[in-house]
Amino acid sequence: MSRQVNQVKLGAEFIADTPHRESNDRCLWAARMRRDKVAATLPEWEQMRDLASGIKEHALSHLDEYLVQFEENLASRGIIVHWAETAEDHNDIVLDILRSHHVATLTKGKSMTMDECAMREHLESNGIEVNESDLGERIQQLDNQRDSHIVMPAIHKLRTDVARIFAEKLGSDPANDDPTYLNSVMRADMRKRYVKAQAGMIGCNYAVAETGTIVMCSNEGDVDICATVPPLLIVTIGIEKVIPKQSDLPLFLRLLSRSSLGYDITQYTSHISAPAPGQEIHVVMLDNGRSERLGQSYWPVLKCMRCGTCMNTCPVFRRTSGISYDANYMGPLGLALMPSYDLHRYARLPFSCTHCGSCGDVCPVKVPLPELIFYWRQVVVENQQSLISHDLEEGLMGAALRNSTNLQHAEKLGLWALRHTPSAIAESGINPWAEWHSNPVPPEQTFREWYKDNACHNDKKTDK
Amino acid sequence: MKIGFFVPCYIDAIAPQAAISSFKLLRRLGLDPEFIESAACCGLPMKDMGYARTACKVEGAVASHMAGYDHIVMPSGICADQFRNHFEDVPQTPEIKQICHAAVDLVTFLHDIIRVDSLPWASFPHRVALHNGCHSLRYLNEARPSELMIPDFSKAADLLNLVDGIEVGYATRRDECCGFGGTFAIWDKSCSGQQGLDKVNDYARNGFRYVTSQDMSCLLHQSCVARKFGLDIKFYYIAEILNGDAK
Amino acid sequence: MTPHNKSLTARERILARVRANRPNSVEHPEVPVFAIDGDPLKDFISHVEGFDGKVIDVDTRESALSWLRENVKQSDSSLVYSAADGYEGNITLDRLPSPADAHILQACVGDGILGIGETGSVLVDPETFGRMANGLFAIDLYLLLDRSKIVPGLQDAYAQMDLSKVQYSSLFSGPSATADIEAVHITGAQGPVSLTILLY
Repeated sequence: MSRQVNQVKLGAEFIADTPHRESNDRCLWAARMRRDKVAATLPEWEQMRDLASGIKEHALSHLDEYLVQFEENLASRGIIVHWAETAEDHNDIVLDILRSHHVATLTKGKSMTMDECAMREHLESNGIEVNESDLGERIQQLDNQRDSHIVMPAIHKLRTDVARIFAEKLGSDPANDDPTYLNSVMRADMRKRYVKAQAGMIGCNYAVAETGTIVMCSNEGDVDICATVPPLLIVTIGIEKVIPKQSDLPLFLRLLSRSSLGYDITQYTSHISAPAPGQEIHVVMLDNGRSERLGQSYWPVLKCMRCGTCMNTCPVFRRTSGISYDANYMGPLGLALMPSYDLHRYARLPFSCTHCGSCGDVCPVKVPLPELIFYWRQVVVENQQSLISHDLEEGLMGAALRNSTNLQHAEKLGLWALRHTPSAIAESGINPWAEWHSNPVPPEQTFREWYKDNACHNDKKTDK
Repeated sequence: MKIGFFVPCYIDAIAPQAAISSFKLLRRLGLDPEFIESAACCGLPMKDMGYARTACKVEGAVASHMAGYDHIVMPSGICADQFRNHFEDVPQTPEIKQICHAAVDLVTFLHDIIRVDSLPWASFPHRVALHNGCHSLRYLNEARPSELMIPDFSKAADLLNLVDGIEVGYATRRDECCGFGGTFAIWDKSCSGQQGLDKVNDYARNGFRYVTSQDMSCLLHQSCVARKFGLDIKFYYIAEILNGDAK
Repeated sequence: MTPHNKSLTARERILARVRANRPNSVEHPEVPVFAIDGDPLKDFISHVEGFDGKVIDVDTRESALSWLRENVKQSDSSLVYSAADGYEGNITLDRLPSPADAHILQACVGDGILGIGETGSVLVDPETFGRMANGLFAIDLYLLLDRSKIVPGLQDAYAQMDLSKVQYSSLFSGPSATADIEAVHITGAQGPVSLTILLY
């Protein structure tokens, strides 16, 4: 069985690291604030969310038709389309293409879908040099760490971390942690790699069925370089990325970057409908469980367009960082999606949520994230209840029995806890507050006692 | 109009003043609320943790005491949300549906149903931070969540503004969750604690010495964190101010 | 119902599963064209500047070309590729046999296809730069744009395109940028470091 991810434990480590926690929270909250500001300038914002959600639901409910239309359009212009049922199939297909073209080194734009397949690791273990071209993604590659955010992969790091990694791996000045300097180190290093690259790889934000167009949204220019400079291009597309029509696209674009980073648009919004002269393009359509998810009650999670705004707004995510989820998709999206990849490994994730509901209200395509998180809690309990309650019991007992003061407080809390936590937990008794809270001031009487002493005698009607 | 008064378990034991002020306020407004003494817990904590079967038993038990009211008022946004939006583990009989529909948070009841427009007895000459609890805000629609680009409104603020001398304000991150989250506070005490600390520090930075909310569970959490970290802030359930009990 | 028939291809198996698992049909909603308030030209300029681009506002295309002649430095160490009629660079495509060779460019000049007020974007394609790589590798990018080609919003822009007919096209909104380190905004990530739009 896979090792279970303990987000709470990993998150607590990040919380204890004040400079990192404060920086992560500040950067992401700033994105949320920019989002509010730009969204407020469009009177049609909420209407657009409804429309975008409706289009995604329409597309998913006719997905087979749109997939075929998309494929036929690509094929008619000489783009070679492959279909991968699993991550392994995807990686095999990609490796075959690269080997048949004798590719030894390539540059790759950021793609959560390729990451989902652990493709980079697979290619590297087969002797192919993969250079991540997005700055944040490159930092994470050089640090051998997962992304902490689907849009800002290294946002949990401080500039000092980046300076150390670049000094170690790229030979930059370890004493210079100015982000502008660090960016220039990246730029200079990547230029050399683009020149040598025999292939480019990218993901896709939207696949327009009607026109057979691959749409990419990015900021650094690296994705367009990967897509247009080397003679061979491989694009990985999750099958849920298909949208019906060209006229749908501007609606999504109007929502995407505003939600994601709080800017009106990404610096580059690019469309590929055919290979350039002398270029060969392969598209790999990835299933990896999507077609099964489509038939489940949680299928609306497939509407997600990977903007990351649910992460920016999540109060837990901002304080614990995406690293603590140890998952390809993190934050509220991760809670709603990862258990469908591996229920045991991600059984705890759905509980890393206060149910504040903010993620559902910022989502530009109205994925009902809070409901889906609730749903997965029930599935986890039905399937592996012991994982949760055993932990709780252990924590509860440990805290309550630590000293007699705690035990006395636990008795008072027990009144509350007994009525309102599942019996297996409540019966163990606990004061889980001690680390962060003073204990509640015990009232002189409960409401029931007060009612008996006062109110019920004041009025005949209540005096039964 | 037959009005039931449901007292959530955590309020009965730990924060009875919230229920006492609410009960007195309803009477003062000329109503005749009937305390549903035999009702215990709404099932939220079990539901929250994914224990659907346990939640079903608790929901069934509490519902058996709650039939026959036009409105069941409760001084707790989270419980009202549980009744109205998540009471789905018990068979959805017409009786259950009626109970869920009748269940109402005190603020919604005062603002939308009996439309309170004056509180002549209430005076609170202070600047007070209003914390719209997440469930009241985003699931019960008692105010505009800052995420939504819709016209601004806040039912709790409307009610508070009827109080003589009050100045209602907000933390800088006005809708940021304080981290209570029910069982979350036990499950993830570090994150819950950090969120609570960030929240009370936000009040302190803005010079608030008083905080109110329609959600007592948030206030219990926040007040215990504030006391732990030595912040001199008083927390009042909204009815304590509306009824003139908060001093 | 999950088809696992081994004789089918992966494509057929995926499509069969998708077909079997389709949610109940949802209608495609009618999407209105939302009106964008304000003056598209003013919006365009303010958005370009908001994205750290520069706008040079001149009367005629000839004036724009003169501006380029006066301001874009050309030398052996400052190679300029131009795809714009009426402005000559100092390097041609035959000296850039492969796209990657464009990394030696200091500047690239081309004609934008249309502009968007809502976002400050300029539509470009390989013809704009002779080749996309030239417009991506050049350090300084200059785009000529006829002000009558500025539309109010993204929806208006896409109404004028036919993506099925383009090989490659892109909306450029300011020079390349990143905020991947502590969200510090840096202009000049991996594409152009500067973008100047010559409006005529």
